[in-house]
Amino acid sequence: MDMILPDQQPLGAVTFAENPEPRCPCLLLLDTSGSMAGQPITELNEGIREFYNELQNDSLAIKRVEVALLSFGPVRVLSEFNTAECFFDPQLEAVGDTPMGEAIKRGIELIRNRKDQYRANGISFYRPWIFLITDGAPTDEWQSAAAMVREGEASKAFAFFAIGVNKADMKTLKQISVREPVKLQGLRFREFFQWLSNSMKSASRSNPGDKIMLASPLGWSEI
Amino acid sequence: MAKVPIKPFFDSSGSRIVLGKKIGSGGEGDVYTIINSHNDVVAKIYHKPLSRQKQEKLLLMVKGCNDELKAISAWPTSVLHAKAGGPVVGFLMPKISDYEPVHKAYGPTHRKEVFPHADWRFLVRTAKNLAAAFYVIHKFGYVVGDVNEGNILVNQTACVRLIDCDSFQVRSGSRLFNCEVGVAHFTPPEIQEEKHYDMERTKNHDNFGLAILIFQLLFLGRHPYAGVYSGKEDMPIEKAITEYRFAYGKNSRLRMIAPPPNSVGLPVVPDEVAGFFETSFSEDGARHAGRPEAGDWWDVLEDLENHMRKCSADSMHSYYAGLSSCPWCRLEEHSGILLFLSADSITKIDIRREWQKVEAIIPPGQIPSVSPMDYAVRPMPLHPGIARSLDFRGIRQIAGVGITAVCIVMLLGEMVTDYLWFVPAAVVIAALFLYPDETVNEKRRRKASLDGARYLWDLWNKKWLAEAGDEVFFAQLNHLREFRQKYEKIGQEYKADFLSLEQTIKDRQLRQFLGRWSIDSCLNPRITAGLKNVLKAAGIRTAADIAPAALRSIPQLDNTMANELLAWRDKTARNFLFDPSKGIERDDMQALIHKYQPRMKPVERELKIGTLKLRRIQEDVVKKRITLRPAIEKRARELAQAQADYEVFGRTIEEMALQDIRRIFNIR
Ligand SMILES: Nc1ncnc2c1ncn2[C@@H]1O[C@H](COP(=O)(O)OP(=O)(O)OP(=O)(O)O)[C@@H](O)[C@H]1O
Repeated sequence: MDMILPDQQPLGAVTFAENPEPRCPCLLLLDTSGSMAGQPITELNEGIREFYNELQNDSLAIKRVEVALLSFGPVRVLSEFNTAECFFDPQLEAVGDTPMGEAIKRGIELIRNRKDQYRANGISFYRPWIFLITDGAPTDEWQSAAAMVREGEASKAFAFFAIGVNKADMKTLKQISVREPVKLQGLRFREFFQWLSNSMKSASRSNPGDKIMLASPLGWSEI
Repeated sequence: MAKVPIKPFFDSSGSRIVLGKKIGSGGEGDVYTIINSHNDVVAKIYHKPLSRQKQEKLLLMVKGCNDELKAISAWPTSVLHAKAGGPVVGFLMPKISDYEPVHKAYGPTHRKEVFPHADWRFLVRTAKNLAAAFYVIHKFGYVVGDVNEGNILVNQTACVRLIDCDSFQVRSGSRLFNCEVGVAHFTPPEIQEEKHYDMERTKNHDNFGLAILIFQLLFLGRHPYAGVYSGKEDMPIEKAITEYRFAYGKNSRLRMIAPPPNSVGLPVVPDEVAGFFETSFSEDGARHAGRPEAGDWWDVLEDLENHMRKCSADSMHSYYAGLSSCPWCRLEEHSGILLFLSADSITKIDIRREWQKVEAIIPPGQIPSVSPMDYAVRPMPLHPGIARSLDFRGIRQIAGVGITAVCIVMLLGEMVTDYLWFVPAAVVIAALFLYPDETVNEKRRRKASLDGARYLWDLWNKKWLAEAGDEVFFAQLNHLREFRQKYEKIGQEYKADFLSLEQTIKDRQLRQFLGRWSIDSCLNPRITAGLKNVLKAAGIRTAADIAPAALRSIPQLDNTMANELLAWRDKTARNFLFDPSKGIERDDMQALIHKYQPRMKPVERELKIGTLKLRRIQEDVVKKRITLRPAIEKRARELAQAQADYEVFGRTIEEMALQDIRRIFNIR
């Protein structure tokens, strides 16, 4: 039922007033298809935990970096955009297929909504980052998602990064991501998230504007 | 991670400096304590060899060091060499401890954690002290350059100190040592779009960053250029700065930007302060020396400090005395944010009064019943032709049944030998039953309108039940009850904590009281002077020392004597009066309040908003019962009509009777 709230305040207005720092949104699209079962999913869970930990230990990042978690296979929004204070332990389980196209579209929608909230609340924000982490190939229609990624990159609505694990279909990833996809070395999720938290920390305090200054992904990627 | 270099360094005078623990690390170098030295000095050691230029800059800064600079910053006091006479690899500076970055003071969330006792007066004082620090830096000809939320530190007494001084811009005669860094949100429009920070920085540039920080301190962490922009494109702060879109300024509407929801506007500060912000963030400010300087800021903030008032409702709400009412109460009330931790109580509402408001909202009562059964309708008369055909159909059916019966009788009576005789009879029967008559079309039409009416009724009935029913009302009421329970539970936990705190203080006072009663004052004849000496030798000198365990360790005491002593202690204790004025310390009390208040606030908000919502629901339901009524009644009537119309066909007498009974007794 569409009951109107008496105060008419946009959601999250309280949090925004208590913490008006500019926001640095980061969306993780996590593959939870069956092939991730066992070691990979354990390492991924551990990596995410450490990621939050790192962010929580930084007094500026904890106020500025907002993380959203979306898993696919099936597509589920595990956690909406939130600062790292609200740590969410996703405890991922690898069960489903790989509806990557739907996940990307859903993620882009999450970002669009969050940006609207920022705008309505006078909260400035840096360009959102999307990280797609997968070990397979899409099992659904992904071409339209790829078109949305291209469009988002062109209009600077977000930056999209694809990380391939194990036997990920790098060829398709290359068609989805405008930026060169990166292959994870073994199961170095921890190193990846360490790198990501460092990048988020520096991005959240410097002057990102248009340029994205990522430290080189040394220590976890295969290049 | 670099390991702690164990080899010694040498300061300007050639003394050995041995590094201790690493206490900080930055992009350019790490900061260490120093072993065997005064605890008030630390060393910064660079990661990479320094350019000649940078080495000279540090030497110049050390030469320029004085007490004023040291008091407000981590000014380099000596350069460090890896070997005597070698290049400069680091420097010594005053250690700054117990300071927090300024963003923890202006951001409400962190402020409440890190500076729980800070009110707005504290924030004004911090701003003033910040202006004082900039004043000193500028007075000696330096420029901060890289003004940002991390390089400025604040302590619990609102004192401000600057770190990262080696990045300041230094001028010596005609030589300029640049500040090569900056943070965009504090960078003035004049140089906002430059690719590199390699231009000469001016005081006027610094004064922009200073104005931003002062604004953030006074306006609860809001950035002056972060607002609700009405254009279509994104408006990052960097862009807003270059386009002078000061969200709170008098020209903000022209610039298509408005202050964010739940913020306060320029009226919370005196006109001069507001004017300073306007100038600092406008085109005028971008002109040569156009912005108010640190000293000017100091003056107006000093003036503001002298014109402040405490809110009568909350002693932690201090505000500019030029206002007619407390802006923080208003914002807290309207937004549900806890702006400042209260020193007085954990709650700002009176739950009994709030609950009375809830109880004053009268439940909408049972939903009025509307049903097709309530309508006695006559079926629409049939067209005479159709009626005739319907009657004729009856005759035909009777004839058909008759002929069939005759045939069966003839068959059973074996009156007919040739079965072929039955063929014409079968044709006649089939014709009588199956011959299409005009009633079929009418029946189909009425069936269709019955289906349509039922569909619409179901739809409207669902809407009616949902919107005019009282389910939503009671769901919301239960929600409020839950929150009231939560509220009371937090209150009880607080009370329990409070009581146990009070108990420890009572115990302490009682001990002190008993300690004033020497055992000599025990007049019981069985406790002889000799025994008293034994007790004293065992450490039992006053009533406070008497405890079963202590007495048991004295062999001269038998059980009765021990009990007499305990009785004497208890009798003495009965004269003890708790003095609440010497009760819980203010600090302990506040810590307790600060523990519970942040939990209480969201519950309070939910109760307040929830009550409004309940009233809204109640009004809504009452309104819907009036506005929806004609529509739902219309559908009920239509359905009743369509049913009656349709039932003309194929309705048996029994069915008609049942229908009447149902209607009379209102059974569905
Ligand atoms: N005088 C001091 N007393 C105590 N701690 C200090 C002092 N100076 C610096 N620190 C600590 O060391 C950290 C790094 O110092 P500083 O910012 O000077 O290094 P930097 O290499 O210039 O870093 P940045 O990347 O910010 O330029 C600071 O964040 C602070 O925690």
